[in-house]
Amino acid sequence: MTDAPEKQRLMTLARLLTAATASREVDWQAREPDVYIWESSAGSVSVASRDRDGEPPFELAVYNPAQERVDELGSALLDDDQPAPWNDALATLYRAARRSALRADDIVEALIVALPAASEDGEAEQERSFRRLTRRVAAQGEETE
Amino acid sequence: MRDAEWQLREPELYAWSSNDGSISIASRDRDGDDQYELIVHNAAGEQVDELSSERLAGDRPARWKDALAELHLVARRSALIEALPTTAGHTASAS
Repeated sequence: MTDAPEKQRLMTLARLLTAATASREVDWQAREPDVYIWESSAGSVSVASRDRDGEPPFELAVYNPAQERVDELGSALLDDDQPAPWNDALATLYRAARRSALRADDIVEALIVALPAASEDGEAEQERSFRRLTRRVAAQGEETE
Repeated sequence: MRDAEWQLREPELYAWSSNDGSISIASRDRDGDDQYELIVHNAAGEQVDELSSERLAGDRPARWKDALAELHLVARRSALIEALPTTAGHTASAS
């Protein structure tokens, strides 16, 4: 496999899409497990874990507006058994697309909001843990008396 | 004040859940070593994000390495306390 100009263009597409995804300028959708799609008026792009296990190798595919597949780029090893120069770009895009499709930022934010408020009196976590432990042990003692 | 209470899900893996999803923190190789993974799941249990303390390109330590180690420590402490038997009318987090 050669580092042909069309592969360079797809690698550029992957990197630009990763940047746009990270800045939440584009949104991805999950069409099936481990396959994520970004659609625009000019066509669409999918990125997937080939074995649908969330692990490499990854595949990027480009579709025209008629949903015909027009190009693709996959993680690969080159003739000298070296990873292809676009492997990292595909892995990074896959992770970004998955985060976007599964609304990871929204969930992380919701979890942050759901956390109990931090202690206002500055009580250290370790001190609180020891107090909780003491209560547990005391409760055990009362039960055995 | 109610603390976030963690549960031991499997050896060296501790989880905290809310209605929106859950977070787990684990020793990567489940051996208590200092490589940790934080994983975020949505309410359906799908993994949506992760953060690992493995070294970055150029063998640089990740900026979040210490935060993950600290979280693992407090989650482990919380889970071990929660795992203690309770008696009627008493809970570890009761004020």
